[in-house]
Amino acid sequence: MAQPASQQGFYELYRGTSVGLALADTLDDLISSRRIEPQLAMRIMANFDQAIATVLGDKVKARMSFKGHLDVYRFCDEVWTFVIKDVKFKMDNSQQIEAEKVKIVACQSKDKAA
Amino acid sequence: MASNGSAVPAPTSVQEVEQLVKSLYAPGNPATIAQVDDQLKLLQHSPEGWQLADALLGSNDVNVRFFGALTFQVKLNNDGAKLDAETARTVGMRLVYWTVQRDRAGEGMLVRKKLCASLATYFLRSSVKWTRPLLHLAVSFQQGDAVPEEQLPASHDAIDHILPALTDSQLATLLWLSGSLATEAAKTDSTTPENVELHTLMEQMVETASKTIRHSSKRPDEAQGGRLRAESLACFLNWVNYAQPMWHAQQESLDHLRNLVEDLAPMLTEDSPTNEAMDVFRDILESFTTFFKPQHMQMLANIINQFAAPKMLQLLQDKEPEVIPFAQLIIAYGIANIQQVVEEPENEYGSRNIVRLLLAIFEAPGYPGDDDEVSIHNIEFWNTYIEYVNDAMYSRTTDQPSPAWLEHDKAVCMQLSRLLQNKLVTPPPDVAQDWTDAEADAFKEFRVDASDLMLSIYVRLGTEMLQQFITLALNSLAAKDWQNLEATLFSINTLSDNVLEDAAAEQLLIQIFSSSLFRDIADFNQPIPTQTRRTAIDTLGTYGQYIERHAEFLPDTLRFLFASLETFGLFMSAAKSIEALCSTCRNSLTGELDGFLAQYNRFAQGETSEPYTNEKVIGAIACIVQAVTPENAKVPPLAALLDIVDGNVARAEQLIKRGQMEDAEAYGVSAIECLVRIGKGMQVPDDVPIDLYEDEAPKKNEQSFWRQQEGQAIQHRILGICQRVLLLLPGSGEVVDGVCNVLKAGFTETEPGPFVFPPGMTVSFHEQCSIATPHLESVLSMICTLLVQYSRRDQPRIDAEVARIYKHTVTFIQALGEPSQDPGIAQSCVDVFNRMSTRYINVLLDTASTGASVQPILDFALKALDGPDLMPKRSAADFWARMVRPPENATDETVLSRADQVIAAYGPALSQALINQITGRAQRSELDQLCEPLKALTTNRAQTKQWLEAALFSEALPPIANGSVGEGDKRRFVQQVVGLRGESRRTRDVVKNFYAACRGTVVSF
Repeated sequence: MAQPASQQGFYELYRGTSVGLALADTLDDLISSRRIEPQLAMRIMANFDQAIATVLGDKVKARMSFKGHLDVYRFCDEVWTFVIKDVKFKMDNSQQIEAEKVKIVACQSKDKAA
Repeated sequence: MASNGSAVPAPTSVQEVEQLVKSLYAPGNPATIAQVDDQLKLLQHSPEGWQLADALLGSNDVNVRFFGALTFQVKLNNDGAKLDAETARTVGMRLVYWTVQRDRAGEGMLVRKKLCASLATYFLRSSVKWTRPLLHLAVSFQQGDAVPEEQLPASHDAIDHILPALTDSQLATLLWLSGSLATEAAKTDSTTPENVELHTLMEQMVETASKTIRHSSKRPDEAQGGRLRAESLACFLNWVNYAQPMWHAQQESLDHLRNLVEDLAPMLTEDSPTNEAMDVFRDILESFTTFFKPQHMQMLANIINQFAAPKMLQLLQDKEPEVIPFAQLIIAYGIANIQQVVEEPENEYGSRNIVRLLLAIFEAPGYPGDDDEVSIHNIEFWNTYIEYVNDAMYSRTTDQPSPAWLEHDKAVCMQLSRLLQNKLVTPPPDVAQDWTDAEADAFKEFRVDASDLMLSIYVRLGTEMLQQFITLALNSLAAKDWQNLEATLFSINTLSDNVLEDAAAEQLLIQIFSSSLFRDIADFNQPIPTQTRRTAIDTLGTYGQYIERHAEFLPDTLRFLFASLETFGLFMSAAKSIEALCSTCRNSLTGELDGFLAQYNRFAQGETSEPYTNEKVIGAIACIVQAVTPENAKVPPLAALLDIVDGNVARAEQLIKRGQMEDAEAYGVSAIECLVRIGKGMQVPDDVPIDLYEDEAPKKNEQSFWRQQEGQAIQHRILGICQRVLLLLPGSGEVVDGVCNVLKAGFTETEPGPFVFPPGMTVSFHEQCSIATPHLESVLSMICTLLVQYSRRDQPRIDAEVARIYKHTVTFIQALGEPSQDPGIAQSCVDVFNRMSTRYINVLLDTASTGASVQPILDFALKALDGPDLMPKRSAADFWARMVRPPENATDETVLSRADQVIAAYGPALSQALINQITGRAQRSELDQLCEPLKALTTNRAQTKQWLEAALFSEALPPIANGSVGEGDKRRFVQQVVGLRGESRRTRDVVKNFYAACRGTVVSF
């Protein structure tokens, strides 16, 4: 389930990625060693939410296509969830990867137009 | 002023501070500048910072004045909320005073903008509310001095009388302040009670702000090149951006901003500031569509059609980059009004002309990414367009009549697909060779984006679109227009996935495959560009399934591809297509096997032979071998492939003898990679048909050809090649990786085959390895896969082999001693034991013997759990969670009692390790994994509470960073964790809270 959007309208979705977890660990170390205040750490994390959403949206050029059988889908609280079975991913370099089951969680990228 | 340990002495007077500030901005030694910066930061944070800021603003030096304004901002951010009311008002008055005074003194933008930023910070952070900042500053400007707030006129239209009296520079300053207030207020949370008043003030202020914007936008300022009007646009955008998330219900406030549209939109048609105006209106169209009322959209449509359209068309023809803002505005308008654009084709300005203009972008000359920078942006509009059309088409029920716009839209889509294809045409070599990497990449990116768009258009147009491309391709072929042919084939390739699922579309392909296309392409005497040949080769790969169903095309196609292997510039594409075709059409190609082998042999000795193509082609031929029946007939061609691999190994041996180690390694690695490819090619495809009428019962594995002498000879030969390369290149990790992949190639097979080795052979390879073996992690990972494979119920038990794995893996951990010696190997070893914990728990617990060999594993896993290394810790947490839980499906008494003994003996030490981690040794990201053994303990072991308490009060516990965590907190933690009895989410929450308390950090991010 996607976390709610933070006050600036960015999801906290990417805090669970390796880079988000590593940032949280680093901020913990900085707080424990009294080099930064917890409030600053929270602010940094909020900036991370914004920055990673922007960077992934604007800078990442790689793409892939996939095909599979749509097993389950739902749309709840502005979050789409798709469970796809027997998925074949085709990467940029024509490399193919297969997966038995994939769950895709998609959130509205900007609710500004609403 | 406070002194400190910095090498730069603390200043004792304002003059000395000024000197320090000047030295901060002057070129100099970086180390000294850093010390000066430290010293100045100390001053900014000191209690005397207010007076210092005030004094510095009176300096003659602009940098010092800037620093003074900055110091006000820093002080307000840190201490603004703590000021008593009188001091706060004094600070506000001083800032207003300086803003007025500096404007009168003709101050530049740098300091005035910083003063506005400080005033905005004062508005947000001050302990007293600054209720009318814009009016306050405007009146003070008019009076020439800071006017006390209580003396401001009370009437709501006071600003109307003041604005005409202000100078341009004073209006600009007001706009900066107004914009800063909107930007800064937008960053504050609107839902917390402490900010409610602030946002109410913003609602009250919007009227004054909009009057200031309107007045500034109408003031003639040609002398300044329209700068004031540009500032009014920037301020307007800041307020709209503020309003967008905040004012869902406050339509009255929003209308103050909406009413400005009629004043500001005409700037789109003026010479200056046209670009700023276009950026602002585009931004709002993209991000806040509902801001504009229908009459505003109508006004924008008129401006676009009467002013922007002719300019854009002219700039497109001239290939001028200035076209971009015009095009972006039209694109943004089109996207914002997509329903009208699609569904009202009779609307001349609101739809028909917009579509015409956006098609004209693709019609214009130039190559995308090079001298055409607009087409790349235009893709976005057309994606939105086609997505809307497809949604509308497919969300209709069958009994609903077709909307009238569908026919018009179809014509638009046909025209779009043709124009798009035209834009994909590659430039002639003399143009392309002058391209920079960035231009070449941008063109490639356009092609990819255009491909996605074409797929969406295909959903709307179907076979008509394909037929259009086929006709274009055949016309280009007849006219020998190779560049256009290439773009058309590229477009046809793009549609392959959809075409191959559509029987009607597939029938059209015969026009291509029965044409002279591939004969012409195969004729190397014709001056056809390499790119065109390459794309034609890709057509063969992408339409492999079609060729499979039309076997008459297959042999000629492959002969052409094999011939292309020997041509520079084509061999990579040819190898890729050969692999795709041979894999897909393997059953139709078995008769061609000898010919292909001969062609491959010729290629392997040619100049274009290199590892990538070699591996692809040898894998492709292996796919055909796999389709050969009966099994014994596979031996000769397989042996021929192995001969080729043997040749590579022999070449590596010769090179080693000559001391050419680098080349030798390349040949050795390539030999193993070829084996891997052969192994993959020999895998039975997933979609193999099952013959329901086959009477003959399948042969048991033992009776299979590959379990007989001749079949096993092939297997021994494969393993022999691996051994030879391992001996030749004992230090090569790539070889070890390759051998693991060879062994793994048969793991997924359900029937015996040349690469389906008995597990004992795989285990023997494992036994050859030591901790000095390069890439040992790959070997252990392969062993994990083997264990998982043989843990499935449909597979026989292999206890003897698992016992050998167990015994040898124990030697690895004994040799390592500590997990931190090599965290990668340590993790892999623990993972191997983890994989034994289901079906082979008897081996893991050494039930056949005394259990003495279990102890080193448990000690090692405990060290890994309490160590600093992330990966071994994760595996160890998994290991202990498995160990603590009762063994699954175990009925063997020895297994159950041995498992019980393990936890009885290791429970206290395990608890200590977990507590050490949770109280601060672990990282936050490791807590979820560490919760697993903790949950297992609380669920399964009654003594857990005593063990955890003992650990928390033990002397072995590392000091807790946050000294305020006391005895009560510790007991409460144990109580909570034990009380939850393994409930997953809440246990994690309790652990995270206790961890945060121990480390003195935040509970969650």
